[in-house]
Amino acid sequence: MFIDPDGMWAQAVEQEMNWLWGDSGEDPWEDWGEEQISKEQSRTQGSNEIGGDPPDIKEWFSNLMSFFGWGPGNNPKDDVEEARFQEENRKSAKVIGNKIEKLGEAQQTALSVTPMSDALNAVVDIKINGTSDSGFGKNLFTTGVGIASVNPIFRIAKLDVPFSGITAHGVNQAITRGISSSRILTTIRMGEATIAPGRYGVQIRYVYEDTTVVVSATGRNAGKIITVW
Amino acid sequence: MVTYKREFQRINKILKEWNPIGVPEPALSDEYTSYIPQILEKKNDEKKLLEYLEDLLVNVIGVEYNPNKKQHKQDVLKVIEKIRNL
Repeated sequence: MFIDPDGMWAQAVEQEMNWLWGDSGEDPWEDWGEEQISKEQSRTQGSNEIGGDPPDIKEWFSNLMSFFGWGPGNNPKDDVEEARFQEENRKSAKVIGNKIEKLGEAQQTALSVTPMSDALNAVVDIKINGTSDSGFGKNLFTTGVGIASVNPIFRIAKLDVPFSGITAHGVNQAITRGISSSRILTTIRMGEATIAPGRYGVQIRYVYEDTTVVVSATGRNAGKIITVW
Repeated sequence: MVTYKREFQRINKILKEWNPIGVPEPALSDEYTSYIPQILEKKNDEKKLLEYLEDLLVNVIGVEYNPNKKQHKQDVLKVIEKIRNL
């Protein structure tokens, strides 16, 4: 018999030459009556020195699913929390959706006066969601258009955006910058969301650790990832 | 005679100033570089350059550019002017 010096695996001398589990360099076999049985097989089949029937694999899997909260109904508490979270998302989306609409109008108004290319050093106030003369009202936020095209302007908690894909530019940037699809999804799921007016259209930017995902929030490409870095 | 590398850098500078997505540094430094060869190829033909940049904005990058909006059109025409004046 060969005992792995790392103590993780041992190779039993048997016809199949299977790799068997062994603890810390110990003998991977154990006595079971007059026979010897591998500890791995013993665990897998539920056959140990105490005896007993092999576990029901369906029950075992179901318990595992329940333990990790996978699948509907396995963890009622999580389901309730998930439903509450979804409801909050829907409410946030409604509020933020209105803000985005207003922001789009405000941005277009600003653009009609001062094209962004000329406004890099000019501060143009955008006021949304209130009662000012511009029709947008109270100063929910104010920002410079030129600056705001690079810097996000306010943070939002959760936004239920129906993601509709990724543009060719977005794919290109993800590949050349080595950002995986799972990283992008993690950023959208876990990241901090902010709204930013781009040069053409409003964006939502998700930032998680060192990754940023930019999603178009308005227009025909709404919901599409347009770039990542 | 301006070398290709120098022209490349100059156009990149124009694209960075334009920055249609609004990407901050340092990502901005290479955000639009993949489009420079095509721009260089078309830089002497204003019509082709306009078509290319509008297609780029709408179908490749995917921002909310509207060619029927005067402000949007003028914004792109300014970029074209800068490129052609290199």
